[in-house]
Formats: sequence, structure tokens, C-alpha cells
Amino acid sequence: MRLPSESELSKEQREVCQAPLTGTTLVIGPPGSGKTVVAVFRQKTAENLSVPASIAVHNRVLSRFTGLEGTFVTWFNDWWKGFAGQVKPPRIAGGRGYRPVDYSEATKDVLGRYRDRVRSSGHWGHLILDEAQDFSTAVHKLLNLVPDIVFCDAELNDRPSLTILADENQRITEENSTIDDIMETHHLIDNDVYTLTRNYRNTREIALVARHFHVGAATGVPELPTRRGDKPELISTSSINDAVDRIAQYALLHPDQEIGVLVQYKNTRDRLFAALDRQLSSRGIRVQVYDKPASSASLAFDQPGTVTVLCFSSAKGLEFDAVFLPELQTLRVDGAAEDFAKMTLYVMCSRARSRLTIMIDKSTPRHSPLWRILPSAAKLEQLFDIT
Amino acid sequence: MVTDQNFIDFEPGIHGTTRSENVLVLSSSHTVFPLFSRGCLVPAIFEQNSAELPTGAMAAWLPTAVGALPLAWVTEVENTARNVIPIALELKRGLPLRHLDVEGCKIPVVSSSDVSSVLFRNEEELGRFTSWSYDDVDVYALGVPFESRPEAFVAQTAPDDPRERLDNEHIQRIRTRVRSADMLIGLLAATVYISGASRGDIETLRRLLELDVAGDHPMNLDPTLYVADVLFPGSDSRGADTVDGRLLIEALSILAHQPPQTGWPAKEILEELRSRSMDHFNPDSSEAKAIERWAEHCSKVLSSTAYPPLSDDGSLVRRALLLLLMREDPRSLADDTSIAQTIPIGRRVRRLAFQLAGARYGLRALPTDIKFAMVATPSVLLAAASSWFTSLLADLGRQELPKVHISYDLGSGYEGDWTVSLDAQPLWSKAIRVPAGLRKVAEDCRYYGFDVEVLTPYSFAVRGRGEKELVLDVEVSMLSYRPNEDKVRFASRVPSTTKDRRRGAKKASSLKKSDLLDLLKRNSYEDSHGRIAVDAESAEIIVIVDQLIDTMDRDECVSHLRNVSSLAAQLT
Repeated sequence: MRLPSESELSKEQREVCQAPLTGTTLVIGPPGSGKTVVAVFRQKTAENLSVPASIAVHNRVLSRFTGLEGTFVTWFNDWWKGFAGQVKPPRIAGGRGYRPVDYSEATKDVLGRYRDRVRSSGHWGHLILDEAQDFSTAVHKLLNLVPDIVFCDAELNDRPSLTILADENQRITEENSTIDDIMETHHLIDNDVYTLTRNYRNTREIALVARHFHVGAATGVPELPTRRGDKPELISTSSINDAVDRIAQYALLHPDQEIGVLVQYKNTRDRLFAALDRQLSSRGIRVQVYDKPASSASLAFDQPGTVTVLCFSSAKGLEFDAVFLPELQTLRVDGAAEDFAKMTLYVMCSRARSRLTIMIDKSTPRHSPLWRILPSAAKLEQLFDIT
Repeated sequence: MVTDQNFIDFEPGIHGTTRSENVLVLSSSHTVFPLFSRGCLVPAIFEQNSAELPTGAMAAWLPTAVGALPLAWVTEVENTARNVIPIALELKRGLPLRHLDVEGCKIPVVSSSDVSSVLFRNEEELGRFTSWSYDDVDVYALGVPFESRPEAFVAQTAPDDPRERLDNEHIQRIRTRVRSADMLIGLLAATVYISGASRGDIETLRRLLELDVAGDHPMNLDPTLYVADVLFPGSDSRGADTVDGRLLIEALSILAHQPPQTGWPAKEILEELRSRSMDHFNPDSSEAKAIERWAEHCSKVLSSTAYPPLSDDGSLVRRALLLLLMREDPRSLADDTSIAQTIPIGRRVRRLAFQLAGARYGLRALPTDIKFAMVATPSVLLAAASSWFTSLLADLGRQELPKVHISYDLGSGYEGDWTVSLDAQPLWSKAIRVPAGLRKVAEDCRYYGFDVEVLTPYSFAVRGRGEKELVLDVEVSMLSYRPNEDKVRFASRVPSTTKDRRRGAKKASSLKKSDLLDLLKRNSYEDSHGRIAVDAESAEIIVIVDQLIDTMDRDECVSHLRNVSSLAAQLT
């Protein structure tokens, strides 16, 4: 990811970026408020100060996006191996196959039998935890107790330190933490907390569309950005092939951009990927798909001339110059799932930095549940260029 | 409205005094960066992003003290934001804080060349500051030492508040002026970055560096006219009635209000450009219709429903503006590999679009890998930039500017450097290499017995008798439209007199319209072996033949040389 431009930083971003790297700093902000920019800035700062620094993220795609090879799980296993050698971290009991780490038991080990070893070879430098709301309180507890208990006799500046980036609105897993949980677990006071209120990723026009889908939560509705751009487009497509043609045409005219094509279902993703790959790969545009964990290793981010086809569930935390949401009529919007669908659209629209295009099959009846969550006709005209 | 922050520093007592202790200027980690990114610091209130910088009285002045800064001021800076680090800029011995007359006000300015060291209260703050990396700032670019000097921040008494009030209108006018000066230096840096040492490139650069426009100071004219004229000769007040001239002038004027912080609503900018340009012409005129057609085409391209021809064989200005509308980021325009991937883009179209993007960003916001590219010592660039900046800001005129020397040395081979020096000190240096296709043609001409002199990386001159044909000066230059389809152009300038070739080529402006028309008619003659044209950059009359390199054999090469040379001689 590109470093931030000093001349474009807001006052609140400047305050976070310039915060010392000691202790624990919590940064709360809505999608696009520049949390990942802060992460990259602080990692580079730590590097310049010769402090080892890592960014740990929740899912594999995000780890590729931030340029790291590992997720939090990978980071944790490496860290554990650093002091425990070949002894694996404790796993949750029961069942066969993959069993996740039992962070509560791991904490007991860290504070008990491995305490001296952690003290001598478990200093992580500066850890930046992105999308921290997606981690359990057990993870947060462990990350708090290492500097506070294991390194309690060290000077504050010499203890392992943390930057925690979180947005309660973006919780997607069962095992997550609220902002209050995080503050309580890390014993944070107001002075340790920074709130990014402004939307920095999107243009004002995209943010207005995203805001329509926002379902309120603790961090509230983000302030609208001042950066302007073109109005998002709402296109009625005649078929999935029509959607593919339009995306392909855009990609050919904008080989300098990273383009995200985001859909709900895997089969739609695979069809779009195959069709786009046929049209674009021979013409110098890279088309990639995230279809299984192993494929994340080959994903290229921050590279112009790339079209990435993803399911909604893998797109969280990512951003693209242009985002297409084709086949939106397939989005599940029934009674109980209505808020979830709106929240999904809020997060997906927020992935776009400069250009957002929503595509709906023209045969979709106006009384379908999807149209219920879209803006009214008059507001649609205001928010979108409609084709 | 007059508010607390509408004050400006005015300290006549310090001017010209001599003292044993140095002058310290108080700044902060939120406001000091223009010094590192542009070489010149003005009060934060005049910056484009002033809304994001600390407010209050500190935004409107550069507080100055001798020896040590008052603790009260330092505390005031600390209170402007969380984590802010007070910074003292120590000026060189004997130097006072400079004040410029801008729009009838005295504005304090710190130039990078005035600073002897950057001071912090302690090592921790110094360490934090120097650990930060930004896309548009290099904290080491100033080339002066950073020091921890606690005693510089603890004076117990503060001098009297020396500021005078400024009204909002003055603030806005000065802010506009700061923006214009920053734009011009951004354009300059972008021009150096993108230039390929062609005659046009060098001429544009020279005029920008020397602020050479009809003997007037550019900022006393409309700066957009000045820049338009430099970028596209003929688009100044005389050319403002042409479609391209008008579009370029209006585009520059719009860009002045579209710094990178504001974003890029391309369709809205296109509409404003269309509307403002149309206003200049009669709605039924051919110019108005041409603008309408162009805007309609651009609109389709921006909606991805039309394909944009962007090669150099059409209107340079209109195509460059369309390219800029499509991608405003200078880095994206600089990366020709990704751009040329799917759409062939002409070198001149890309150059003009990049220059406009550079002007829009201004030097302050240009990424460091662009503005410091080819600069051996960033501090030299910052000092020069500060010199241009203050000159543009304060009507100092060009006598204050460093002397510019542009040279390129290809030696006897096909590789070398071109260098821009200021006051005999090298500033920019760029490696150049003659493209393989052109090199082959030059070697062939030598083989056929002609004298060959490499003029620039894109051109060489041919003269001499060869095996049997006398060829007067013919310039062979590269025209590269797309990969594997490289073309060369054989061009011979029509001398102004038969006897004295030193007087140069005949200018189109020296001919009557009827004579020009006669020349144009000659292009239709069946036995014409070259096209007669007016050179877009020099406005000289030339005879040209274009040829694909891959398919050219000996006979074609020699006949092209002979034909353009003899036809040009006939037209004298």
C-alpha cells in the first residue's frame, strides 16, 4: 500500500500517525477512515526506528492486501514458535480435523510455564492488529497480558506495544469483540483512544450511496468525505454477459486501476471470473479470483491493470479504485436478512475509492425485496447516474 | 470577518539587524512539512489544506525569537493538537525572518536555504519526527542537521505580539497566490520528469525556468495564460480564440481550484470546461461546435462507452485533456507501461497530460519519487524551488532567479546525459539513450556515406554528398506511435533566404495567407515527394516524409533524404 501524502492528511489522521509507538493505542473508525493507512504508516515508522513490526489481520485476503504473507494465526504461530520451539500452541478440544488455537489456555501457558522464555524471546516489537473487532476477547486478553505481566519490570518504552484498529460496524464473525470489550481488556483510557470520524477512502458521491445502506452501531455514521468524484452508476444489464462486457470495457480503458468485482455467491463469482479472464487476459489485464485459501498466495494487490473477482465475504477490508457489484438481484434480502443485506451493501460499496457501479438484471421486478432496500426513485436519481 | 487567526507576523525590528544569536522560527510537526516538500514555509493559514492544520492564532504567523522561543508560544503550539511536536527552525547566522510583499501585505517566509538546523526539545521527539515517511515528503531532503536542544524552547518572556490584522479577502487572495506559485513549480518538476530532451521539451523547460513570457512577470499576467503559452505556444492571449487555446486556458484555470485534496469529479470538470470554453464563442460558430463534439466524445469515454484515440496524430490539447480526465494521478500518467498496455498513447499527449497533472498537484503534493527524480541533491532542488516560489509570490521579478543552463551531451555515441544547472550547480541530470530503431537508421545513413550528427535522443541531422546525392541539413526524428510500428520522420526546414542559411528557417508568420495556401496546394501535386507543413513547436515551414523503420530499405532512405532536402531548397 502507498504511504499517505502529508498534504492530504486530515488533522485527526495526523494525530494518530504522529502518536508514539509505546503502550497500546486503539484507533476506531468506520470503513475507509484510513485505519489501514495508519497501519502501514506506523509499520513504516517502526521500521525506521529499527523496531520489529508486524501487521496482523483477520483473513487471508487481507493479509495479501497489506503485503504480509501471514494472518494473525500465522503471526501467532511464528511468535509462539519463537519461545516454545516445536511445542504447538494448545488447541480447542474435541472433533477431528482442524482445531483452532485455544487462546485462553495459551494465555495460561504464556503466564505460567513459558513466562521466562517469553520474557527472553517473545518480544514482538510493535504489533498492529487490523480489524481487531473480529478477534475474540481471549486474543485481546493474551495480547494485553504479555506486555503488562510478562514484561512488567521493563520500562514502558521497552515493552511490546500494540496499535489496535477496529470498527464495530464491520463485525463479521461469531467470535468478535465490541469496542468496550477491547477497551476493558486492554485497560485503555480515553487518552489511548483515537477516533477517526471522516471517510477517507471513498469519494463523497460513493459515501453518500454507502451511507444509504448504513445500519447504525456504536461507531455511528461516518462523516462524509470532502473528496469529490463521479456519481456511482446504476446499470440495468440484459444478462450476465452484458455485465461482463461492461466491466471488460472499463478495465481496458483503465489499465492503470485496480478493479474489484464483488458478488454474493461462489457460482456467480466463478462464471464472472471465467468470462472476464477470456476477454481480458490476452489483452494485458490480469484477472484473479479468490476461491480457496490456497489461492490467496497468488493474489496481487496494489497493482494496476488487475481485476479481482471476490465473494462479499472475502472482500471486507479491501479497497479498489473501481468496484463493480454485478448480478445484485441475487442478493438475499428477505425479512430477517434485510438488515444484514443492507450492511453487506454498506461494506461492499465502501470498498470503492473512486468509482462504483451497481448492476442489476433488468428483468428484476420492482417489487422484489432488493428494490425495497435500494433508495427511492427520486433519491436514486440524485445518487446515481442511471443507465 | 476578522477572527483571532487573521493576524500576520510583522517584525520590522528584526530586519537587517546583526546579532550574536540566531533567529529561531517556531513551527510544529503539523505545519512544518511544506518546508520539506516545497522548500518554502508560509503561515499555515495560506496553505490549501489550512482547514486540516491547527487553527487559532498560531496558524497565521511564523513566531520568531532570538536565541530561545518563549515557553508560552511552545505551549500554545502543543495545545493545537494531540501528539504535536514543537519544532524550531534555526536560521543561518545573521539572517532575519524574510518578509515578502504579497497583495499589499507583508508575509513571513522561511526558505529552505535560510535554515541552518532543525531543533527539537528532546531526542525522543527528534526520533519520532525523523521516523515518519510520507508519499510527498522526504524529511531528510532539507540537508540540514536535526538537533535536540531543550534550551531553545524555554524562554520565559515573550516579545510583544507584532502581528497585523488581515481580513478574509486578503487571506484568500494570498492563498490563491500561494497555490499559483506552487502550481508553476509543480509544472516545472513534472516537465523535467517527463521531458525526453526533444527540442520542444527543452524549449518548454527553458521558458518555465526563466519565466520568459513577453518580458512581463508571469504573475502580473493571468498565470493560466502564461502556463498555457509555455505548454502550447499560441494559446496565450493571441491564441485564446482557438478551440485548443481556449480549452487549455480554461482547463488550467479549473485545475487551480482542483488541488488533489478536492478529488476528481471528472464528468463535472468536463462539464465546467465545456461550458466555460463555449461561453467564449458564438454558439453557432465552428469552434463552439467543435468543443461540443469533443465534450460529447469525452463524456462517452468517461462512461466507458467509446474508445479514446490518444496518439499524437490528432489535437494534442484535446487528447491530453481527455487523458487527464481519465486519469489525473501523475504517477499513473508517468507509468507508460501500464498506460500503453491497452490504449496506444502518444508521447506528446502523455507529456502534456502529465504536465497538467503536475501543475494541479503543485510541488508540495507531488510524490517524492517524481519531484526528486533525477535530483542528485534534494536540498538543491528545494533551495531552487524556494527561489522560484518566493519570486512568483512576491513580484520579485526574474533578476532574483538563478541562472539556468540546459545542456545535453551525447558524446560521439548514442548514450549520454542531459543536465539542467542553476548558477552553474547541476540540479537535474537525466540519462538519455537513442532508441534502437533510430540508432539503426543513423548507422545506415553513415553507411551510405552521409555525415550524421546526433542532435537529441530522438533526432539526428544528415548532411553531405553520400555516395552521389547532395543532402543539405535533414533532421531525422523518431515518431513512435505503437510498439513494433516505429516510424521516423525526415524533415528539412525551408531556409529563409537562398544565400544565407544561418538566418534560419522560414516562419509561417512571415508569409501571406495566399502564399501559405499555395504551399498547401503543392501537397496535392502528383510529383510531390514530401509534405509541406508548419512545425507545431517552432512554427517553421518544413518538408517532411514519414516512414516505417522496419520496412525501409537503402533506396527509400536515400530518396527520402534527397526529396525533402531538394524540395525545401526549392521553396526558399
